[in-house]
Amino acid sequence: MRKWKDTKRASVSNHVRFLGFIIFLGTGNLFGFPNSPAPKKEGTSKAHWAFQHPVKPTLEGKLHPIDELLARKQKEGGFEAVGEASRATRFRRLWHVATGLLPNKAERKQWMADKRAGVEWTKAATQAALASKTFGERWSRHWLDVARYADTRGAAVTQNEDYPYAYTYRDWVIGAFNKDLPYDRFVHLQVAADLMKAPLEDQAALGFLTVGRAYQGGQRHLLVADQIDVTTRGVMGLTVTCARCHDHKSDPIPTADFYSLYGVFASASMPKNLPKLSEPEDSPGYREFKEEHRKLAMEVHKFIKSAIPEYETPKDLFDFSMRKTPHKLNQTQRDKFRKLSSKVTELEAKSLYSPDRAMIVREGKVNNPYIFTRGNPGARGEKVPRQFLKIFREEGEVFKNGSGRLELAMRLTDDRNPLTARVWANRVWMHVVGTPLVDTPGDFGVETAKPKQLELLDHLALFLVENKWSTKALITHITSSQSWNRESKAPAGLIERDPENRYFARSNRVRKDLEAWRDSALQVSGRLDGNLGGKPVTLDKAPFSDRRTVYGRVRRGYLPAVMRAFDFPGSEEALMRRSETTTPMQALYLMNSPSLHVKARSLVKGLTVSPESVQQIYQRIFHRPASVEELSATMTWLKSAATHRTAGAWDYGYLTKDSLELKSLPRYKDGRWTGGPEMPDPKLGWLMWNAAGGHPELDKSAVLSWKAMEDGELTIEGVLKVPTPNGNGVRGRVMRSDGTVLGEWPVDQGKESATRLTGVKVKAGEHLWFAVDSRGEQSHDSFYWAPRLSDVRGEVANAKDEFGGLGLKPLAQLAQVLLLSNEFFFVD
Amino acid sequence: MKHHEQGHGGYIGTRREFLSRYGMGMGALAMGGLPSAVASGATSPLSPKMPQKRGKAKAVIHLFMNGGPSQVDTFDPKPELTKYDGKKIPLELKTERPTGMAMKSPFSFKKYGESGLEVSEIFSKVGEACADELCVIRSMRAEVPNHEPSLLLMNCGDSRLPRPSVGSWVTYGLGTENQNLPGFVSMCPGGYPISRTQNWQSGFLPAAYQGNYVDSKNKDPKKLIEHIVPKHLERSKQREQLDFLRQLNEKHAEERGRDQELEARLESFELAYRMQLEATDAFDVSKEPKYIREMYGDTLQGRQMLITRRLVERGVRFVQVWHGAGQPWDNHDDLEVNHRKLAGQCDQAIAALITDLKMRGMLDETLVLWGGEFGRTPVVEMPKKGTNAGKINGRDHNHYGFTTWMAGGGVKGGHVHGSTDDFGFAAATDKVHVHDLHATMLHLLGFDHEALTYRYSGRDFRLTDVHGEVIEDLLA
Repeated sequence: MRKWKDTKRASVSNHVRFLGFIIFLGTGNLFGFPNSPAPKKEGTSKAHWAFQHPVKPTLEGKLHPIDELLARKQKEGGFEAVGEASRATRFRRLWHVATGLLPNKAERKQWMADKRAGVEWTKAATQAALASKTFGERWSRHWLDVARYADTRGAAVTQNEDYPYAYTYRDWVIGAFNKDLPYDRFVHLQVAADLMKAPLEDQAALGFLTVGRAYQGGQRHLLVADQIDVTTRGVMGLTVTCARCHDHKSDPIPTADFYSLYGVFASASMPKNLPKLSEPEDSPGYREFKEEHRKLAMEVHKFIKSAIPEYETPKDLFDFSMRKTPHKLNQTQRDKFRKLSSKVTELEAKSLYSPDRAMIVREGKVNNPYIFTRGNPGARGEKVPRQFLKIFREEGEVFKNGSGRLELAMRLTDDRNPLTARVWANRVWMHVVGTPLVDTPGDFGVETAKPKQLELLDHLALFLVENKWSTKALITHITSSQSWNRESKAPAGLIERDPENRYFARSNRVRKDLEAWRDSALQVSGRLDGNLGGKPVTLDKAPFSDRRTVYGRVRRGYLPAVMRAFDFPGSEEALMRRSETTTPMQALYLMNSPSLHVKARSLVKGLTVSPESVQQIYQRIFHRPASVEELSATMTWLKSAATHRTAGAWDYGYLTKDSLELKSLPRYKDGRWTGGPEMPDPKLGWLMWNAAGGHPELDKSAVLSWKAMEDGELTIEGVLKVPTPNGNGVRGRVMRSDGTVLGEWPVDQGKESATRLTGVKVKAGEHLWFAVDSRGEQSHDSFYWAPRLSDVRGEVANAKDEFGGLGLKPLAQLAQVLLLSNEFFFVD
Repeated sequence: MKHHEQGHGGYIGTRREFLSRYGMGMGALAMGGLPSAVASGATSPLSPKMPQKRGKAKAVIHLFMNGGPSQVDTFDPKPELTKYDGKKIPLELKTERPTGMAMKSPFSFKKYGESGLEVSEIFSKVGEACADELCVIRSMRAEVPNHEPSLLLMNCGDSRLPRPSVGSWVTYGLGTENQNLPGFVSMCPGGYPISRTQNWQSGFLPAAYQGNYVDSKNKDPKKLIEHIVPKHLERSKQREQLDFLRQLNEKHAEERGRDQELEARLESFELAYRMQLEATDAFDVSKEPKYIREMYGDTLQGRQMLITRRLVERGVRFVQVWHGAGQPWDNHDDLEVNHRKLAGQCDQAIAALITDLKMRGMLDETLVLWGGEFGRTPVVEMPKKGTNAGKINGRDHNHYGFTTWMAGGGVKGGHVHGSTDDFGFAAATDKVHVHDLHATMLHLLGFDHEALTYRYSGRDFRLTDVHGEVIEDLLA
């Protein structure tokens, strides 16, 4: 007995590490260590509720089945369900669930006027929403969380970082949802499209196995473990490690199961050369790409040849597998090799002309797996056949064809396996209703308690299977229940007694996730790019992309701060349910990120401050008019909201000779202030300021003006520099607005001068001017000057860091407020 | 005493009063038909609260050596292990990965201070500067030898379930002294530790008590917190804009019966607004005199420790300082080289932090905790493909016994509590489970760990669940 336990424990613990999973599950008693809380035993694990076949609940049939099942529990708990929400509320809720967007104008016109009422209306509207291509864009992302989708290989990999073709998998998922590919086939293709004689376009589904984290040399088994994890946890809600936690001999999933699956996945790998999904049309751009691609590849081979004279350039120019050569390269050469070859990948990732390719796997030599035993990690223990998990396996059933991956795929969804349909039904419910029926959508193992609404879950699972695994049918089934159509507002007593809404006597109020919020903000600002699919775009850098968030590049391990702040998954492993946090970091982003200001500005383009404009803005964002009170309060605020021309304490202007009246440069675009759209401007010539410096005119000095916010004594530092050796240089002066000159520095062409002043006293509201004139000859007068102001406590102002464009005008401020308001962020 | 029960009811007063504390722009807020701001006796979720009884510590700094530092190479010298070097030790414990013979510490130990506390050469600066302040617990134990569950256990008191972190509990219990800064800051240079934001999650506690992550790798204080500088509006105008936003959100929440999530989000904007000024200043170490900056060292660790002192000085309740992204102390290979390097990165900074806190009279009220999620084995880790580089010179995870130390905040200085066996493998005497550590920390902050509870889903939850004992021997 003891001996058995020891070896089991040891191998379990080794594999835990080996699997490289994040283990939240069952770890407390994973090893049976002392001091860990005892597992809740529900008889033997074979009796575990999730391992039983779903049971068709008996129904009276007077109500929608979902309503009837929920009503039963509500009655038991003494809860009374709230009433139906308004049509407008249900409309927004429905579009949020189905598309992650708001209904557009035409849709609003049609569906607000539709004659049907109650759930009849919802059912019809659901079908319309699900028919939109935007459905796939929304729902693909739910699955991509599970599939740990990313466009890069992972944090440990710094060179050749890109998966240049991951997007073809993402687009395949979008398409699969849009055409309502039956969920069972959806799973089959992702696990075994290559073995199914599926059409070429469906080969992209194999990205499910290949877009995970990459491991460097010799760690292939980690990659296989990741494939096992994403498949078992992602599809069946079962962690092999978790199911093996248990001390009993009757464990439903023994260690051997892991190796059985290991053999299946380890028999396949991603080939170096990925098949093209289509041949791009001939175009100058494509030809250029091919040429550049070839050139970069040749450079790699040339380099290897120079290092290893006997090297022969392979027939396939893009085969850098270097099967024999890499060990002949020394460290420096190897780095160089990686650098050169990553340029090839980079080009593929960046060029719009590189053809779409599927990230497939191919069967190789069939792997005959062994269990590793403790103490001999490298050594092989008992041999195990490739077969399905013991608990669902028939006596003596082993995979017969090749690696058995196709058989595994089929086994995942066949009716001897009660998990897959339940797991997917639970997730669909979660995405449609807001909270799942089983709290751990990635773990239906023995540790997971029987859900309060098991009959409902079983009903949904059976409905899914009976309706040919149609996700759209299941969604419609849920939304056309009375329960889904209820108000989210509820009496305090109900909320207090059922804070987590386990009885579903009311609807959940849901906060939009990053995608839903960003996409609908783009939509109402009129910027949304409605194109479907394609290469990933950068979301967090200007110029900000207007594509839907699902197309944003996901850099595994290095998520942009905005994604991190808004709970986007890290893509390290399968994630079934996102966390939802509320932090000041989110608020800072919403308040201060230029990407939001761009949207706000677009939204109010062409509008001037007036009650009509305010109404228009409310209508566009909230799809409702402002109330009388709101309108008057908004107008009151807008009047005081009039902003300074620029955003901060700095302004950018000029002085004419012998005048002390500072005039502002009228135009701001692309990081600089100028006299007008053309350079030189007919009136203001070459006058210009940017973050680093500017340009004066013959008769006008370029002036940077700074307004003090408080009294103080300042030190002013900076370097005035004329970079070009031509012309005759400039003169810089620091002045007060009454003309007092505090310091003056002539700077010759090609020279520079430190512009330091100390003890400069200023009063709050007073201006300091940094004026540059052209010394009578204006050509070649570009200069650098970005002063820094400090007091004893440190930096007070910094012309370069604080350089900015136009302030946000009142109406754009209003649009911004509405876009970040709770009314826009939450779905009732 | 029960802390206030937090159904949806508890929050209403809270929020109302919150409004009144932002008097600015209230004139412009008078909007017909909307609820007016009513000052009531209640307080913001983050406003300072009195603990159950007066505690010695008012703030906590948790220096997290993530990955798991080796006890026998830092604060738990084992001469017996040296004797057995390369031999089989008469003690068999299951390890996470295969392990082999005894591996002596490559480092020498020395006695420091009046207490004669033994500290490894790699932490000589800590030893020299503050041995007499340290209260070393050599008999820590956790539950499993895996990072993720152990991180969660150390940070949240449960290795499995999504429970609130210690920092969240403390901020919930005590509020924070400075309303213009987050009450709970988690700094990690260059990215997240593993298990990421779970390490500072608020769980079922209101989101207001969640840790605020800061990437302390950035040098520019304005870049430490992204989007901290508004470039589109003057500050006073932004205040007016946010007042208007608050007005809208108030009305929205009022119509929806005061949903807690709505309230939390409403508050996050106020915090963000105030952070803009105060945080930039708090994170700006250039405002420190030169000798202070030199004391900490112009390094990543030096800077983040100095920021830590500035934050605590400004009233931040709980600061977590992670060594680095991922799990830097997880030295399965090349332990000697790596541990020396890692300790070298933070030795001076930690010594400076404790010295500085003491110099300012802050140490008595600031509890500093040093340690990892577990320790390391005294036996060498054997090669295993894919999990180590096969060099046979590193140590595996060890939850059976490890060392943490505390300083300040009411703990005994120059004190050693408990011991491991002769080889430093498992806690042997006066064992301290992570739950006991948590109970003791709460005690130092003025809380009975069994009574700091939160009502959730029909049950009173607490940080220590049904475990934990205050270790009296640690208290000064």
